[in-house]
Amino acid sequence: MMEPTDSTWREPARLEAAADWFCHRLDGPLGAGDQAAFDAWKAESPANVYVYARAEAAWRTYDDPRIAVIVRAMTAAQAEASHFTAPTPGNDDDL
Amino acid sequence: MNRRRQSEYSEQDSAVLDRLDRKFRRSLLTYFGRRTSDLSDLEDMVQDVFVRLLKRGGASELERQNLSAYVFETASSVLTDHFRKKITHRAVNHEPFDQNRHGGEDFSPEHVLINREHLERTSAMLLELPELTRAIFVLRRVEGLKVKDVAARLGISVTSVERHMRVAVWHVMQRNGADQ
Repeated sequence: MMEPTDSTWREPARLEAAADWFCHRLDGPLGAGDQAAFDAWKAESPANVYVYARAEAAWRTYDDPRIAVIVRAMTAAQAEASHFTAPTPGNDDDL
Repeated sequence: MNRRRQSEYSEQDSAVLDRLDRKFRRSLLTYFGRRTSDLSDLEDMVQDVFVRLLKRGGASELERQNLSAYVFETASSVLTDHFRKKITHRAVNHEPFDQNRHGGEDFSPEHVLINREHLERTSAMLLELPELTRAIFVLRRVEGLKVKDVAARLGISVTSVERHMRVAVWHVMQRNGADQ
């Protein structure tokens, strides 16, 4: 497959469409109409196929079980930090 | 104050650092001291705030109207990075060796380092998302909940969960692309 240039696959509308299709398919098998629309979208351009593969790759990034450990700990650490109120801004005049 | 790094800076930059130090050091130490138990890192974190401010604009940054707010905003991002490094370090070092999963992998130091950086980056991407979007992505992707269960847990609609998921996936795709 031809690899689309950087600017081609970064087009926001294409990324958005790929994310939409990807999330739609996560929620269960597509109906016949949606499946046809998905196939048509992929047939439109090799860049669509490429960007869709990127969505799948991005999703797989989070397969590593260590991610869950890190993310849980980060969330806990942030929640703990937010218990403290931000300090009152001081008077900057004497700078 | 810890001045070991000051010699690397120009006279003007050093003056900026001195002014920031006089004005904010004490309150930044209190800020970090309340939020982390790593007392040995406090000085470094304060220095990190000043260095980041300096890198962004130096003396001109000091003329900002809301300088204090800006300084503590920077402190908050230093704190996030600190947690991230600490937690990633712990998770990576405590991962038990699993022959089935790791047996065939290349364990050269370089390979381990790349993995650690990758883990950090991948986790940090989620911190860039708005809080609700991140929570939804984590429940769905990391904790493996179904859309309707995420919706029930957070008391929001299924449509809303789906919308946040699309934003999160889009964000991760975009950030992954930036690293290519």
